[in-house]
Amino acid sequence: MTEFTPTVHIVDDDDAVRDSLLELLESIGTTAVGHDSAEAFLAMYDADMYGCLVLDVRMPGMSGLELQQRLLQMDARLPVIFITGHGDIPMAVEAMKHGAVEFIQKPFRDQDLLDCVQGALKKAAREQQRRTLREKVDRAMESLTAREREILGHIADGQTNKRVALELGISQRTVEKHRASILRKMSVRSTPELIRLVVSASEED
Amino acid sequence: MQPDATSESGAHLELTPSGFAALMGAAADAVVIIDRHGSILNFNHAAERLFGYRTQDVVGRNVSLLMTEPDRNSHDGYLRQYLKTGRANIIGIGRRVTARHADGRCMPVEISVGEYSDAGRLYFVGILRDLSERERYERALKESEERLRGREEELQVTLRRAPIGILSIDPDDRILDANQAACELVGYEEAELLRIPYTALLHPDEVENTKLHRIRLLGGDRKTFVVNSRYLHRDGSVVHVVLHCAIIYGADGEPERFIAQLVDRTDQVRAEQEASEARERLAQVDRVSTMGEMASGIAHEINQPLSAISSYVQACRRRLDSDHPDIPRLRELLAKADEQSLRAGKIVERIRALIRSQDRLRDRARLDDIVSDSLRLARTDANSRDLDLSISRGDPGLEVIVDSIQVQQVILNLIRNAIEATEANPGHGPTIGVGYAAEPGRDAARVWVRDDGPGVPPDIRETLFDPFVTTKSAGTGMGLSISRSIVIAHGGKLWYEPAEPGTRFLFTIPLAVSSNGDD
Repeated sequence: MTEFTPTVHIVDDDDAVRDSLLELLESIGTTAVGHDSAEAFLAMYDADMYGCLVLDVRMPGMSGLELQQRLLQMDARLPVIFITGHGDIPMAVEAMKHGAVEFIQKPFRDQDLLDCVQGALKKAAREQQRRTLREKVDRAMESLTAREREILGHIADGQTNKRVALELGISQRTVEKHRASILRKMSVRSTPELIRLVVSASEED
Repeated sequence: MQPDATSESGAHLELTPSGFAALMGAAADAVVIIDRHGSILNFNHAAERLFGYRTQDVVGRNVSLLMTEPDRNSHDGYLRQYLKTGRANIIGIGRRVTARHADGRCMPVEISVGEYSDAGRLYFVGILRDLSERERYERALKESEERLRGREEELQVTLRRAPIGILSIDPDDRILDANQAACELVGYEEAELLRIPYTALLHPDEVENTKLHRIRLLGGDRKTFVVNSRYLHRDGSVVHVVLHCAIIYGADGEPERFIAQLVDRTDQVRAEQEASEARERLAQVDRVSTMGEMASGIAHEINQPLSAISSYVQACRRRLDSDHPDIPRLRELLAKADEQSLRAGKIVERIRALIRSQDRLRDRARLDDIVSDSLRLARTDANSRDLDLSISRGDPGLEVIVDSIQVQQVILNLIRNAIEATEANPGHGPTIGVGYAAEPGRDAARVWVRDDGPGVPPDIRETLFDPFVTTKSAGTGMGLSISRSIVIAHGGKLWYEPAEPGTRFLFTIPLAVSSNGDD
């Protein structure tokens, strides 16, 4: 479902470091964009961004950690990889606590960084899929009638047609008609498929 | 005895027996009259009191009774000799002899002996005065004098041996007296000190002060003063003292002399100096640890190009592994990696210079070399920029005694600042002028770095040279502060002037004394 290409955003104030990371990522065919400060990245950030962030911890102006905090406040889901020149353990702990994917110390093995980026992009892809799914489910749910939504709740609980009919005081036939309408509106072919869709769309990472 | 006494009327007085008795009785001195054989004929009241005999007990007895040995045994012999030869040892002469009291004790008496003849017979009259009292008194006087002399000697010893220096100085600056401690303090013998004017002992910087204090004492404002002062030891070293001074007036009310007490505080001053040196060393340690922090900062800095090199090289490798490697692209990546390795090398060089600068000694160097080297370094440092860096040379023979690396760091720092100040200029790169020249009329040279930037922002003009003041987002704010410390340590000063356009930073540095020749 990943129609978009993920983009790796590199935020580092050091021109050479930033440029070399871009080159490295491009050498394996990854799309990457550089930003020379946290502020510059925020200026072009939008909620639909898909990919991951490679952040330098120490930067003049807003630091990498501060940018991470800001993104959390904005409920942005971009996975973050930190790069630092110092083995700054407390800083790493802080970053990981706030959901950073990795914390890499400079100078690093290129493979380590690429692995981290791959991991982060996979995570981003999962998140992207989930988001697409949830949006689809949400849209479908909106098309259901109040009665259909009620019946869907019972079905998701695993109740049989007979049991639902009994609970709602309607005929089994009516229940079956509603179920068929729900399956059609939600674009699924079977009840188990419907249940899987609803469950995975409501799952949190 | 000649009857030559005269009465008020001028008539001769014939001494009657009763008159004689009255005379004898009234005499304060003991009177003993003997005949030519030495037998006592007459013994008056005073004699009774003196010798402890009653008259009736001694009359008719030999006068030797009243004497002590050797006179006691020889007296008869004296008399015989006198009668035979007319040579007397005693007659007519008052002398001190030892007499014997009835209770056997000896006593000092003064005796004078006269003789007279009456009816053809020769008599001797002795007049004696008790000297015991007087001798006791004299002895006491002598003892007290001795005690006094002893006290004075003690006082002399006390002064002489007092652990603090004591000088006695007359109003004409002559040293009248100097004790041992004073002599040792300034390294002269006492006899030498008495020939040297007091002011010659003073440290030159203390002469004026001392004059003022003396005037104040002479003016009667005060009787004493206490100050910290300095003297010069004979060996030329400075002696620090606490000086207590008092003025002494003579009986005529005129100032007679000054008493100066010198308490040596050289050790204390030295200890204070050592403490201050220790503080200095501590500050040095502090600087070194600041250096350590700088080094750690530089280590962080060096990670940047290393990490960039690594990424460029890996990007190359991955592109090489592909089926159709893009050779121009590879070349580009390698050039970038190369550039970063140069950057790393420069950082290492900076660390080296930093470490070297810490224990380098100052050497004689040509100012022209120092400035030229700085310019070369600055050009390397800024080679990617469109930099217009020019030099204005003064006399190439100007020589200074400096830590060349440190002075280069100052110049380099000023040039870097100038470059950064000019970067905001639209349209063209930094135009920077560096120069040096002899300071007119002074044994110093000045070095300047001029930029055509926007000038020093008004809000930091006051604090520009303070540590941690910076206009650069990545600056530590230490550059100008350290530069100024370096210049001051070399005996110069560092300041800036607005130029039109831009700013000119200048510092002075003392010139080396001309070596006249062989180097």
